[in-house]
Parts: sequence; structure tokens; C-alpha cells
Amino acid sequence: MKQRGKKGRLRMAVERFDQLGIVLVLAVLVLVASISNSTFYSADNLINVLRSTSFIFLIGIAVTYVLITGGLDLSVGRVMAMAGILSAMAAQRGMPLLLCVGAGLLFGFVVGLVNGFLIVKQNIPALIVTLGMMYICDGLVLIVTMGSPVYPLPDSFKALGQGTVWGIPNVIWIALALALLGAFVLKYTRYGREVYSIGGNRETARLAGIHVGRVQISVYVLSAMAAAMAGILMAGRLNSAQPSSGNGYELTVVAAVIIGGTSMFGGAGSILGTLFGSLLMMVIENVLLLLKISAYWQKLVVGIIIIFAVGLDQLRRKRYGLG
Amino acid sequence: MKKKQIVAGFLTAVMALGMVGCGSRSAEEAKQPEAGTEAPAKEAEEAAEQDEPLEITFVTPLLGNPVWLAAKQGAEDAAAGSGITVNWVGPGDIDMDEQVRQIELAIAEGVDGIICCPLSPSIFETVYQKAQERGIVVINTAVDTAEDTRTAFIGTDYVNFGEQAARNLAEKLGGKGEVACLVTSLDTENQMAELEAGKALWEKEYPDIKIVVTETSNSDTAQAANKTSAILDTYPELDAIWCLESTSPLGVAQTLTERGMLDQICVLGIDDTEDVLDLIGQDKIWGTMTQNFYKMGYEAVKMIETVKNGGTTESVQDSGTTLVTKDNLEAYKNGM
Repeated sequence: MKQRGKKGRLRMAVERFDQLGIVLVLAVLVLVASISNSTFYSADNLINVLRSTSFIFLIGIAVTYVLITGGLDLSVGRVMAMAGILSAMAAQRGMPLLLCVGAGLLFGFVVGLVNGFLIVKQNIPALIVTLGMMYICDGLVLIVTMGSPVYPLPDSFKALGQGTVWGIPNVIWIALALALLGAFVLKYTRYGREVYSIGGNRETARLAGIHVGRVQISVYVLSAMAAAMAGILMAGRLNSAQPSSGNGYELTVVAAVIIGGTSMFGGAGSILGTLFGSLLMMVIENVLLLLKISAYWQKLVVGIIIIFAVGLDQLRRKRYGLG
Repeated sequence: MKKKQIVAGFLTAVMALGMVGCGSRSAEEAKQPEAGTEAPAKEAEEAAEQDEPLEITFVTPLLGNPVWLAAKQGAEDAAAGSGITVNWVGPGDIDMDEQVRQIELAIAEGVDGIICCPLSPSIFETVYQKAQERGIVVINTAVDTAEDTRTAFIGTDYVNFGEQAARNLAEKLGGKGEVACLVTSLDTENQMAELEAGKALWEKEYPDIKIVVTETSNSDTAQAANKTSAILDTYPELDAIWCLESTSPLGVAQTLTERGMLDQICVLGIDDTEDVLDLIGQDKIWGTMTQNFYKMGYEAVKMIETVKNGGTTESVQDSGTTLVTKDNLEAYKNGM
């Protein structure tokens, strides 16, 4: 047996680390930010970055499952708004916190079920179904609120979104717990293996005895419920359920998941990758502000950094023949 | 078979909901485009038209914003009792193409007047031209286009507004300090014009006041909160935050509360939404520059009615602005 030297081990580590490019870019961004502005490492700033990342990541965890099966969910941003509004309205009517949260999650559950059913049973492309659902939820938001935010909210509801444990906001803990659970299920359970199998080859998965339709529907339910959870937490954080909440999240979340290495064609991806993808999106925004880059230039710089980070990973894959 | 029926039923319900959400009018309500050229007697037609109640389409830039709902209320109150119909249409998110499409639809329907807020004026000028050629009265609210492209404008005069806001903030800061500004986006012409007017005033009359950063919020409270946090870290000497759009003050106040900096940063907001007025009452922000959106909607309908009845109207009307702080909060609320 050939003994691997130091070089061999390094090469193996580089080969195996799927998100090396993103992590390198993240590290450079953090380094530059911390050299030019020491407040990057301040607790307030780190919490700010992690909190805004958590909202994206929380939805991203479930959307990773969707993309691994070869699907797509564009409805998450508007589901987030509608679920937050429903929970906030329940809270304003004096319902117990658990029921308020339940109302929002139930909405997510139903939306996910409808999305999954139409995609699987009616064979309508996921892009069309979830795009349609995005419009439907947007319409529902306007019908229910007439455009006005649901405000103010009772203290118990605020505590959910604004509360902290050991100085760290609840949403960060919740995202972390769901990430661990999501990563474990994806890697070590039969369900996780089925998710990968369906994305790899749907027909083979079916022949292997996997209930393809059932698993596919379940990932859309997870995705919509994660969006609903984010919406409820966002309403609590702002003490107001805003009709515009989650606007544009569908693209940010999908971008974070894909930047994190999840294949757009299914079969590959990881929660860790989505974490790095979400972090990259939010860290760029924060660092550009700390570096005092003019708002006129920020979007241009964001685009270049994203392409550069993903390009580095592609280069590494090519170099080591990873396809 | 039963499954198919259920699906068909569901899809029908979804389509019905979608149609409600679109906010557009049904085909029965829609009028045919005016033929115009084949009318046998123009005078008789005009007389008949005068007898018909007016139909006005209000193309809002944002269905989901309380300040525009105040304008809608104003328009409806002005129309009440006179038989005037006000169609309320527009996009759910900022989408100027959708606004232009709604105007084209209104022209095709042959409405008597169009009220609109043309966020980026140049985009609207061609379609306005078309409306005026068909004899439709076009009233701009809040944002104006070139004088020859519309009938009249009612709204806040940007320069007045920007200067008044800047002067109020400068006096509050004692003529010295660092200010961060939050706008919806860098191409929102009215906000940028107000900001430029305020900046020019400071350079001339209060040279010790500096704008250290101008950031965008996309009219999203969560983004305003996140950016405020980064701004506070980047500019530790900051004295004030000037919000030029109405969803930002809540996000700014939330971040200041979380960081225990409410007494260090002076916040000037815009408009009189419930949350903004509450924040003033709770000492979380210093004040707000209110714009009278109700008056904009109300007067716009009255202007169309006047012009359609053969009268004339002023080309530009300033709907006015008021600074509301804790000192005059109750008086302002009572007068609302």
C-alpha cells in the first residue's frame, strides 16, 4: 500500500472540501474587513451578521433538500410574509403563542402540500407551480392586510423574535438546531439517502422501491414550513408583520444554496455548503458597508465576488478531475 | 376520476383567488376603446359624456403601503356622492413596467382621468402623451414628470421638503454632526431629489453637518435594521439617521433599542404611519416629516372633475409637509 505523504494528505483535503473557494473568499473578506475596521469582530456586528444570515439559512436548509431532489421552490419569500402575517393576526387577537406559531406553520404545511401535490401528481413543472404559488401568496397578503402592516404585537410574540439565550438571538439558535438536524437526517438516515437518490436518478430510485412522490412532496412541505418559521420569527423581531417581508428572499435563498455547492440538477449538495453560501451573501453586504464602499458600487462588487468564489470551486473541481 | 374533479375544483379556486389578487377589473366592467373618429356629432357626444359619471383610474406605485392607502381614501372621499368611480390598481411590489401597463389598460378602457405616481418620470412620458392625446386628464401625485406631459401635479415639493427636513434636523443637532441617510434605492427620484436639496442646504447654511453614508433599504424594514447595525459599527461618531422612506424608521428604532443607543442617535423619519407615530410617542425616534397623502388623493380627483367640467387647475400644487415630534404628536393625531 502506498503511504500518503504530507502533500498527499493536503491534496486529499483540498479535493474533499467542496466549498473551498467560498471559504477562501469568505476568509479574505473577513480579513480585509477586520484590518480596515476593527468593529467587524464586535459582538454587535457579529450578531447582526449571524442573525441576518440565520433567516436566509433557516429557509436554505429546507430548500437544499428541494434542490437535491432536482426541484425548485420560488414561493418561500411570499410564504414567509403570509405566515408571519397570519401568526401576528392571531397574536393580536390574544391567542396563546403556541397557537399563533401553529397557525403560521399550518399555513406553510398546506402550501407545501399543495406545491408538492401539483408537482408530483399533476406533473406541472416545479418552476411554474412555485412561481404561481408565489403570486397566490402575494395576493393573499394584500387581500388579508390591504397593504397595512400587522402592528403592534403582544410582548410574548416579540419575545420569540427578539429574545436571546446567553446573549445570542433565538433565531440563530433555531437555525443552528435545524441545521444540525437537517445535516444529520440528510447524511445518516434512510430518508436522506432517498432524497439524494431521487435527485441522482428518479427512475432508478423508483425501481429501488423508494416512494418517490411521497419524498418529493415532503421536501416541499419542509421548505414551506421553514419559510413560515422564518416569517414568524421576522415578525417577532420587528414587532410588526410587514406585507413586504421576505421580498426577494426566493432568489437570495436559492442563490445561497447553489453558491454552497448544491447542484441545480439535483443529486448533490450539503447543509454545510448552504451555511457557507448564506454566510457569503450576508458577509459581503456587511463588509462592503464596513469598508465604506459607496452604495452605487456595492451591487457590482457583490456580483464579482459571487462569480469569483464559485469560479474558484469550479477550477478546483476541474483541476482534481471532480467533474 | 374523483381525484381529477378535486384537482379541477382546486385549480378553479386558485384561478379565482389569483384574479382577485391581481386587482384588475372584470371584462364586463371594462369599457371598449373609444372609436372617436366615427362619431356623427362631436358636440352631442361631449354633452352625453358630461352627463355620464366620471371614471378615474388611480395607478398606485405600491398596493402594500399604508401611505398610499391614505391617498386612496382621499380619492374615494372626494368621489363619494358625486357618482365618480375610482379604480384602484397597481403592483404589489415596486414595478414601474406594471404601472405603465395599468395606464395603457386605463387608456384602452377610455377612462376620464388617470392619477399616478411616476416613480421614474422618464418611463411614463410616452404613455402619458398617449393618454393626453385621447383627452384623458393625467394627474401626478408625489412625483412629477415634465410639465407638458401631464395635466397637473399635486404632492410634496421635493426641494421644500428636503430643505425643511434638513433644517429641522440641523437645528435639533445644534448645527453640527454626522448623519446617515436611508433611501429606498438610489434611483428613487423623489427621495434622491429631497436628499440633494437637504445636502445643498447643509453645505450652505450648516457646513458642520456631514452626510457620512447613504444606504438603501429597498423599503424593507428588516434590511433597514441590518444596515443600521452595520452603519453604527462603521461610523461610531454618528449623531443622526435621516430616513427618507417610511418603512425604515421601525427597523432603525429596533436596532437602536437592541444596542441600547436610543439616546445617542437622533432619528428623523417620514410619513405618519401608525408605527412611526408610536415610535415618536415611545421616544424611540425624534420626529417625522409627514406628507399629506390623503390630500394628494382627494385633490387629484377634484382636479380631474374640474378639468372635465371645463374648468382649469393650477399646474403644480404643494400638498405641504409638517414636522411631527413628541411636542405636537397629540395635536397632530387629533387633527388627523
